[in-house]
Amino acid sequence: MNVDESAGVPAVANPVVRERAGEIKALVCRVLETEPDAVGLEDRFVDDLGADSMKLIELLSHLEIEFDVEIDEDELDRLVHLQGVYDVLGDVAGA
Amino acid sequence: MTGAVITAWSAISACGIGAAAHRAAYGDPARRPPPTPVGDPVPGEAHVAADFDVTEALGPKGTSSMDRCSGIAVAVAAEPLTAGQRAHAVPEGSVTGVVLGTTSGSAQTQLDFTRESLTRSKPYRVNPALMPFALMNSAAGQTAIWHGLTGPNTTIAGGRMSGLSTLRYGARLLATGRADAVLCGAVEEYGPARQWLADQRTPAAAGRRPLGEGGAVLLLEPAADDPLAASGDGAHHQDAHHRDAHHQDANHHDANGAGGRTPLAELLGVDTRVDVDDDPAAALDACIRRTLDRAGLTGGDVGAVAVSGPPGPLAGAERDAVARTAARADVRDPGEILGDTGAAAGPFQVTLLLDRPGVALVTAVDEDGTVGCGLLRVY
Amino acid sequence: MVVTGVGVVSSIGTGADAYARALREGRSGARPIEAFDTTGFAHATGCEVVGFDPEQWLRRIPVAEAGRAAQFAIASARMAVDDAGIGEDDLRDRRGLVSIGTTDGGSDDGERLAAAFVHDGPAATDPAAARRVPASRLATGVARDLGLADVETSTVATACAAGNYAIGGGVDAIRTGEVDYALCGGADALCRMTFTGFYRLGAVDPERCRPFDVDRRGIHTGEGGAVLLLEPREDALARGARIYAEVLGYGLNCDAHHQVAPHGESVARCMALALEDAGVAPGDVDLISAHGTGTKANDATECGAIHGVFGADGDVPPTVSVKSMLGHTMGAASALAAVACALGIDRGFIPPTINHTETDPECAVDCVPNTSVEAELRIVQNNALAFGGNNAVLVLGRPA
Repeated sequence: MNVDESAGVPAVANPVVRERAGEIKALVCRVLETEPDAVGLEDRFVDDLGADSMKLIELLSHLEIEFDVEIDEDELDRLVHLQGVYDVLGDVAGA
Repeated sequence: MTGAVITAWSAISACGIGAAAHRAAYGDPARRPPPTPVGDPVPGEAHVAADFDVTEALGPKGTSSMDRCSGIAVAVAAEPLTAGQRAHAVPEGSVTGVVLGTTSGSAQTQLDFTRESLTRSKPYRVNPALMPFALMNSAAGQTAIWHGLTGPNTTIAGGRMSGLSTLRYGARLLATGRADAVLCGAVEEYGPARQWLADQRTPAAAGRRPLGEGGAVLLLEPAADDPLAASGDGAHHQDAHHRDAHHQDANHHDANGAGGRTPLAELLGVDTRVDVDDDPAAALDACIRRTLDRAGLTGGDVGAVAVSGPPGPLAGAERDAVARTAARADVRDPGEILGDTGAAAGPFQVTLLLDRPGVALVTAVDEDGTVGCGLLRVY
Repeated sequence: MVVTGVGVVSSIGTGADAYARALREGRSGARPIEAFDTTGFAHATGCEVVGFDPEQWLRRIPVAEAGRAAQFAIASARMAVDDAGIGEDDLRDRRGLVSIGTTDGGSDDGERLAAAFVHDGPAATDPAAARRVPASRLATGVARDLGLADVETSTVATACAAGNYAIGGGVDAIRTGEVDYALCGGADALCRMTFTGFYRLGAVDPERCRPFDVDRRGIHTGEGGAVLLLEPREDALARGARIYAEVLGYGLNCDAHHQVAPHGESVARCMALALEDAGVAPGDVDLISAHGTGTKANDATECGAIHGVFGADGDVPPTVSVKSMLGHTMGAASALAAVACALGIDRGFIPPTINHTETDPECAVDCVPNTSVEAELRIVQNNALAFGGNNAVLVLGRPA
């Protein structure tokens, strides 16, 4: 397991997401061009981390690519913080 | 007379970053880096701007998907816009435009985007952040965003004619009052995609030089004594004999700079034509003669010429037209220093002429059938 | 200066008369995309030009040397010259300008080459296609095919606002007296890259393009070309030419804000610049041809900016989007819209915004839903916005 401590262990049942939590956080940081230390579980991407809607679509796209999943655009409403990313992926990954 | 003067410039290329690095390389052949091998997956050798790294130059924020084309444009614009080589930065409240030339934008981004679409499990699993960079206006738009330039923002896909087209368009923005200053220039990145396209367009046997990477920009402002475009505070510089084409006063430029700034050169005229008779030398010859004539000058007045150096037989046609019209001029070719910088050749040509006061000529010939010239009085 | 000739290649009609009829009827150019392989996309509707025969239009340049967008540009320019009743020989004696706006230029060839590279590596070659890629071929192609030597050419690559930019370039060159006529407009061919990009951004409507509608979901990519012949009014009057419209002015600015999201204040500023250049007040405008792409963000931002300039609902003139019929034809879009404005002025009608069910409260404009209306138009404003924050607004008027 390679879970980044600063992100905490995500409260999701999906084992794929739990296992790859560190990787997911790294991806979020890369897309948001932010240091890992700056991203807490419920820090809001737009309000707290300065992302815009383009960045959120970018994030959705990279999650689809990395996890080979299909994420409905309506899920953008939930992709608002790291916990939201874990939740959305938890619903679609490895299902 | 266009009423426009060049007041500042900068460049990024294999010669380095900034105007000073280029002046040094132009003046000293020992400081001109030779082309270096570039390999995978398209072999060749090229003059790559090795000192330039997008993230290093601009920081990590906003650059994770930025290509070298836009990165070079943003970075090269910084120097002319800030104080340094100029007495003042662009004043608050003035409208600054950006007019950049290109061949077809970032071929590398376009290739990478298409590769993602074709090789992933779904055709839309692409990085959406690449899309705006794949468009030809990305370099100019990014330059405006990074430097806060809200004036007219125009991209002209002029190929090797880009230098002349952007100067003419920029001068017209000043003459019509749409901008108070315009950054004119062009950028060409190096990458396998560009190399591969160039290899196909012109067979090596037809004669072409290694590709060059880089960008150059010229800050164009109204001459302070130009009644069409001068701002109010420049009115006291009204100087009728400025319009006398043969006037060469060494102090002239100190007294008549745009808004008190020191012009490096005045843009006397630009003329371009389309070669419909398959005789590019004759078409360029006609352009040069008309431009000289309009400025009240003759070929004998031209001290230096910078040629665009297109690949293949067009290079000879360009040289022929220059030899016919400005036989005694010192002919310079930025391609010998920088490699084939494509659309960026034009602004680089201008920068190569700014060290020698007097009348200077820039010529251009593109494979698409256009020819043209620009006439400068260098102070 | 005035518009004396127009040429159009579009998904709803080619040539001034067919195009005007289609606009009046509110015809839709939407159909399943065939220009490229759409396998794997959940939906792929676009506005493709069907049955275009380049052989019919190209006279000097071999068809194999001109990409599809260049062919559209050449055909449109030739139609505009014919429409203006000027012989090409007469044009050759005058100093002119050819300016063609485009988003993708020769990228349709470029992306087919890229696909070959992805599949076969650098060994794959197609020199003829590689030579068609540089976008300058659009404007130069027009000049070469019409045999015009003494012209300044520029292919203006300011993405989705490029058509208005190119027209503005012609306006200024005539105003400064540097040229006697301008052939200006825009052209683009359908590109897989552009479609894919908008699709990924969630900005392609799966069903139909419905600008200003509460249920709108995005654009339909389209293709086509449009060219206007501009000349000084005195010249047009001297030869007794039919005058479609007067070019009153235009405005340009840049948001300098975001790569893809339009900035309302800046868009409003561009409209104000255009009206100022044209010497007209907002209250004088009878019709706005909006950029109106049909995306959530564009239409709301643009309508907000329109309200900012024109005031409360009652003061905003009818605001339509011809993209509802033509799709988003990228660099050709504002040129096609400018021709629609000129035809509307000349023939006394407002083209409708089709596919409309219910106006979004965030886009509170009278979009002339679904059915064109007869109208005496004196002053018409044509908006264009683009990625990169490139805004361009053109103002046309009824000939005096």
